Amino acid sequence: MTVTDETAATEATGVIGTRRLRREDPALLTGEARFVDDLDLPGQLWVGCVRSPHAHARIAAVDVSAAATADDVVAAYSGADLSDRWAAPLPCAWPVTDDMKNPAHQPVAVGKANHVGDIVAVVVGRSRYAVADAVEQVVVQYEPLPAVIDLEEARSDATVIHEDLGTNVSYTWELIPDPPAVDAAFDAATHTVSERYVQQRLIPAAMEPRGVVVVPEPFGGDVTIYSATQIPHILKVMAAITLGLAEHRVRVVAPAVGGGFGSKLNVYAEEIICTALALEHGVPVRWTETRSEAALATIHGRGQIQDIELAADADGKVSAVRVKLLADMGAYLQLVTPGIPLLGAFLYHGVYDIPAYSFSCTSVFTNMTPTDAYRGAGRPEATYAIERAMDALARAVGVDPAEIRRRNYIKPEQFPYASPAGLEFDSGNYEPTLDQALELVGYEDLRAEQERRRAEGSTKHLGIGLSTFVEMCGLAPSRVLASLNYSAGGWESATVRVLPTAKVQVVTGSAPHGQGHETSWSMIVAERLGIDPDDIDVLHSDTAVAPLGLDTYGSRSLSVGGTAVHLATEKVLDKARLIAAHQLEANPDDLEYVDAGFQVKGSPGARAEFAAIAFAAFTAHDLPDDVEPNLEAQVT
Amino acid sequence: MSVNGTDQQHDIEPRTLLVHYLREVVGLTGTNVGCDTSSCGACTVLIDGESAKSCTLLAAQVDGRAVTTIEGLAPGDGTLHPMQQAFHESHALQCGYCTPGMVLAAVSLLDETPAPSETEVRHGLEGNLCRCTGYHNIVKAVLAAAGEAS
Repeated sequence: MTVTDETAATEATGVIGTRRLRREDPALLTGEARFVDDLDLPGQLWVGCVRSPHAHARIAAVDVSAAATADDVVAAYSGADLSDRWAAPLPCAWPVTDDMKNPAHQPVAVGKANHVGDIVAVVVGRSRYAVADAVEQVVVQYEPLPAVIDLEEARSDATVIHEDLGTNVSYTWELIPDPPAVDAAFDAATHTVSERYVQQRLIPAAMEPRGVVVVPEPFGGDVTIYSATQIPHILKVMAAITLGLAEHRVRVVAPAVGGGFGSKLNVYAEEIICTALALEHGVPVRWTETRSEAALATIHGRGQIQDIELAADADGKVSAVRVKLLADMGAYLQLVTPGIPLLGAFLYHGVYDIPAYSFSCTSVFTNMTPTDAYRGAGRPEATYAIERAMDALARAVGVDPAEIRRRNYIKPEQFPYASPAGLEFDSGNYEPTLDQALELVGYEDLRAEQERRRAEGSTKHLGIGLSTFVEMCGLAPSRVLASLNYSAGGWESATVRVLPTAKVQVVTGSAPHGQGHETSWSMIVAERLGIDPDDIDVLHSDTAVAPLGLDTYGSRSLSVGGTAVHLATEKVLDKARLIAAHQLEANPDDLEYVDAGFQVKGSPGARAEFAAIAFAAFTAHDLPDDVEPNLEAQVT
Repeated sequence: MSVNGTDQQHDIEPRTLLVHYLREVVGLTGTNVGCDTSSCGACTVLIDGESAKSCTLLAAQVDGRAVTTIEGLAPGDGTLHPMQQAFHESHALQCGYCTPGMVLAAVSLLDETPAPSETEVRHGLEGNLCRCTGYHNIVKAVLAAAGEAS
């Protein structure tokens, strides 16, 4: 086959790389898409949450009697009333060290409220408005305590938030492969910089607030949790554990989800509360977050003090980086809170060839909303610190920020590059990327403009920032996650199921919330099977339909989930090849797959079309002896 | 009031917000609540053709007027309204939660300013937030729809 032929074949069947309109769009553009709050179920009850207005307070008394007897209210509960419903506290799935401190996080607080927004009581009523009124009628007596909101103060243990732990320090985690080398580099350095950066907290603010509707089945105790979540599969496991339910009795559905950015990568109190109360009342129980609640009770992102030091020679070539983080966990550890700052632990050398590396992180509890994964989760924080520090070094050496980067980039000939933090960088070529960026923005002209404004004493100055970075994404493979004490695996599941009429169902374990999985996954399968992407349906986000999965976060869906889809497609073709060989009375190894059919190499007239193979697999009238009916393959 | 051309008559609590009336009484859930405070625009509907944020209006305030929600925008023959089509073709949505409000705000904008500049589009849509797209494709879509109409 010539090169020209290969190109022609690619153009004839190629779907990947072509521009397709998203199949997700029409339902979203017309209002037909169903988000959690759009569900309307007969007999449903609403939950309203009474939240602490204090950052840190003893709960002296909770009186729900007035609320419980208010119009359209069915029940009201204090934390103590509900404490026997929980088989386990809300989960933290990432015990980063063996001695990590993890306070018991009850869905409804008992005894003490530890952040503004901590739930202290819940009301259950017949309408959204009724429970909003009833929340106001719950009387809680608080005894305010000193609030710990400064990270240094938290570390001092002047006020200990969780008395049973005896300290506000959750853990200290270090990655210092060669401590003497770091010390030696700093001793020998011509230039050193020592910088402190504060990563402020932020509120993730997905456009769709969180929401949950829990529907108990009338017979058998099964329960379906509809939640605006990124992680239906993980939520299923955790809801079962937290409530002491048999996992196979729990189904989780994430319908259309209006963005997450990490904030819906969690198991939240409201999901567990609604499930417990739905089972108790025997009717659907629901809750939808207000935007004010989102600011207080959905996880926050970031929250770190970063101390970073660089050692460099006279030319500004960096010989060591030393990073000490003080990280804000907030009042409790949510699902992966403690691991977030450590996702940056491997990236504080940026894209620079820095031989000696020292990273340590001490994480503390504060009287603020728990932090957890938000957009990049630990990695943008690392990039921010090393890039700012490189700018500081450029100033110390007296060279342009672009030049200090050029002098330190990992060079193309160094790949594959064993990073000082223990990762392997397989490929990279950073300087041409920088060159192109500088050319695109007209860097020299911008610098001249900056100088001009400074000389003129202009009231409007010009700032120019440079950043070159790589991120580790995908949160896989499982063995690497095990080495970090992460409780789940890093795999993903995919099933490719060919229906009798050669239409295809793809079942994926990753759970989109705006990314466009349905369009992309159909393209992956269409590319290999040579069929129309519109003949491929993509099913997801319902644990009854897609029982296995690890969901969507950390940029893992395409790299891990998409690969699983591709591998499952290959497995389907492997089976189809055996059936085709049987039909054509040929050796399977003599067949090639071209234009949606197998043909004998060298005699393209002898063909078994994909559609015919699919139907033959379904009827099973004439299959090879050791081949089971139907064309379906699962990969995890 | 009229909603998407159909007369609606209900006795409701005086405090019922227009968005809750549309979603829970009329049963049209395409209008979304994002912020409860008129900040994000996810709840935008058209009242007598002009965009308004339905999360901070009482339904009673709109008595006797004509409301258009996202469900009433497309002609009903299986095709999309030109603005919806432009959003589709410009990849102007991802999670789609802001989209109904964004589309209706854009329709209202073009009604007032049929041939806006890019700056006018950005300014005209400043009351509508999107967290996924970064706005560039939304602006592109609105400009494309304006070009289509002119």
